[in-house]
Amino acid sequence: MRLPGGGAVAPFFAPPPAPHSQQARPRQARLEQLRALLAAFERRPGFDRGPASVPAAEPPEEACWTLGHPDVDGWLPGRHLEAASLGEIKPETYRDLPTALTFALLLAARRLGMDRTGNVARVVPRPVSPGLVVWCWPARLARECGGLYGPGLVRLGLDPARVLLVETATPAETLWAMEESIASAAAAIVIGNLDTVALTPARRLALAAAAHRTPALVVTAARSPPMAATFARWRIAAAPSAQHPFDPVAPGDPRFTLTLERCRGTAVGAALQSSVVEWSHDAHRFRVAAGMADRASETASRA
Amino acid sequence: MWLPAWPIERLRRHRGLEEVPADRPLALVAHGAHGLEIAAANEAARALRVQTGAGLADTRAALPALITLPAERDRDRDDLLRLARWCGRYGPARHVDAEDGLWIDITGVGHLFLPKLATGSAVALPHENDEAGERALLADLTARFSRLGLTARAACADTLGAAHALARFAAEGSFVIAPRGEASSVLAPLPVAALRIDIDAVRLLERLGLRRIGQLYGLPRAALERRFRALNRKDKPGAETIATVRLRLDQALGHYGEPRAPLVQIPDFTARLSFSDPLLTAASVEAALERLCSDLVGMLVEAGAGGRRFCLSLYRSDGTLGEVAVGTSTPCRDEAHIGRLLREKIAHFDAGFGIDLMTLEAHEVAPLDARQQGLDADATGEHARAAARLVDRLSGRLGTRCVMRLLPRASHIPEAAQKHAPALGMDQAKISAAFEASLPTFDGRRPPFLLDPPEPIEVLAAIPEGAPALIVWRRVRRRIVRAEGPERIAPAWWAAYVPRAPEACAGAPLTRDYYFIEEASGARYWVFRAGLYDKERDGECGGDDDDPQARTPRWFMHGLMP
Repeated sequence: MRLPGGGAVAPFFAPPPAPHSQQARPRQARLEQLRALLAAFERRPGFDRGPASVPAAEPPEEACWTLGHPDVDGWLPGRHLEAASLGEIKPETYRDLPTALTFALLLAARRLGMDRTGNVARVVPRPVSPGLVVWCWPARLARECGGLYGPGLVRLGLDPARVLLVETATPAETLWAMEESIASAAAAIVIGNLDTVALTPARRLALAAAAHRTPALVVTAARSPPMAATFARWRIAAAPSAQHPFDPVAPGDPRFTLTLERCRGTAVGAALQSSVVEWSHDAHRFRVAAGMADRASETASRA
Repeated sequence: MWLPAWPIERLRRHRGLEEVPADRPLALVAHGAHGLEIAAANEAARALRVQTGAGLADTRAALPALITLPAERDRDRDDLLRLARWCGRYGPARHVDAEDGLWIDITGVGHLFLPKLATGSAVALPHENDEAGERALLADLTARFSRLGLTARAACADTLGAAHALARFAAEGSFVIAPRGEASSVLAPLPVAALRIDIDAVRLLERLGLRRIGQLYGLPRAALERRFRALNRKDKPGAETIATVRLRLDQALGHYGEPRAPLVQIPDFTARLSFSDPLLTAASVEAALERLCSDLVGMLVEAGAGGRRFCLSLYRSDGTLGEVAVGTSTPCRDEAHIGRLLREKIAHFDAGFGIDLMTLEAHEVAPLDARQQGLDADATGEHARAAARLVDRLSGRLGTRCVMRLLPRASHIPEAAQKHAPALGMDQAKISAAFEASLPTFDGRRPPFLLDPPEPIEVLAAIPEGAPALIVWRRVRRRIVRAEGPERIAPAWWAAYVPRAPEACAGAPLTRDYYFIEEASGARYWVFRAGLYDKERDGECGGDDDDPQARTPRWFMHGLMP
């Protein structure tokens, strides 16, 4: 309120005192503490399952489902893929659907951890997880992309003797088959292909995966809205392959543009982790291709 | 069992009493040798002397008020089969008998139809029990048939031939039972047409003066043959006719066996549950299913066996039957597992007018030790069992052809190197052994996804062995930046010595050159060229050189590489 002639009078109701810089620090520190606590909770593998069944220590095999390269694994909380979780793989465009399916197969190969001759994975010796790879997809995809081919699976590092193929007619059947496979103790990983998954079925799959500690991967269509209740959402596109060691004209090891769009345990709205990764057929693991920057920084520099 | 008016009554069941009246003369007509003929007539028409087999024109001239409907012989046969299936409630071995009859083997079933005594004090001899049971069974059968609107005459005898004869020619009232072992005396007064012989043989026998079956007993065979030859010098059916007549007589009297195939496979174990009030709700059906499962599992446990296929039959009170079958990978007698598999399938079952009998049968029974059930607690055993149960559930709901495993095949041709097999009935050990025993895989480039059949593409490539520079696949032009190849896969050299099926593609199998190519955007493909430019031609065996199409090797897309 201003009096005529200058001079101000304090209003009748005094406003609260402005936050002092002295008072700000303890509050911010407290907020940071709470954030760190929440992150630690989310990272713990037993978070979704409720208070009763939190394991005391992580079994060793879970810590070892990785993508094989420390840079790429560094995107994930705990540096490994969560085994009791639901993951979604989205192709960048419609034409990248076979690439997305192949990525699911590569993750399954890493999960099983064994190649055809029975050798345990090369990088880190770990116990082989028994169980089947259950592959559920509609029959029309077999006509579009081709059916699974055993010798090709061997080359990717997946044992075709452990694959169970389930062909379904409707998405409801695919969801049912995935849930049944997760609920039985017989699957090491369940991979399904659906165009789009609504909230309730996604939540059911996530709960089932967490309850039975079996990973589930869903490959969805490129344009569909993102699935709910997933632990991680990947987006993948094919990229020009690496140099062949001996032949300059031949394609080398396959490369993909891999983006981790969402992962539980990392902050919401963080820069998208994206990179061009290369799958090494000899070592059966991923590598980061040289000279690729973070996509977020690219867009920032462009904008 | 004989249904004398089956075609007309079936039509009446199907269409109703207004269209198929009982009081006015009605006949069914069909195409015969000499034009339209009367195939069947109802009672009113028969009272007015309408005969089956007479021409329609003559009959209509004599009786203008005759109502005619077309005869549907196929539907008659199908419905009779359905009725035979429904008669499975009286015994598992049953089938149709000629065009308008059924036979049911009721050996050992009679006791199920005895009225249950409230106090089970009297102990009757099993012999009398069976007879009383048979009487009760036949009474129940004919009562049900009359409720369904079908006139039926039933006869029970030791052999099928005797029962057939008695049902058609001797049953007064609704049923007749021939006492055990007295078939010859019961059959003696019947006419010879009651043996299942054709009309010519019947006429021949009548010309010889043999009108009753009793006259055939004890006739020496040589005498009959001589008499036949004396009668027909021109056409000689004699020997075969005599043989047939004797065969039928022996079959009717039981001296000669008569193999007969039942309609469905006879199960090894059956559990049965009948209800005085028909079941209408799904909950009651499920409760009955639980009880049936526990009964059947009890029988299997006693026999030390497990079944691999289980069939649940639900008999409705309006003469129809519903059947549900499930299969398991390994012999199983786990009550919960069988119950769950069956419950999924009867979830949408229509009870119609009510279910008054349910049976659960176990097929493909194999011995199953108690030891295999679960005393070994190691992980692989547990895993194998869990995998088998998962496969059972998936196959039960989606179908056995939709749940598959991959198996190797010894072939160097890419699409022949693997085969799919239904997962039901496979276990992990078998599959792993198959892979161990197969040829070691050449570690060349093979795609994880193989198109079947390979899709033709248009290719721009250097002749004779250049890699593609441009391909058109699924109507999209793709520019190729990198290529590796060729990997030459020659056809099986022994195929030239093996006779080919006529529907195989013309021409010898061609050498394939496989190329692993990459597009500018990064998509990678596995393509091949079928045929070589200088040496092989498509359709070389014929050698038509003027057809330019036959000369050019063609390109195909075979798989998508990562």
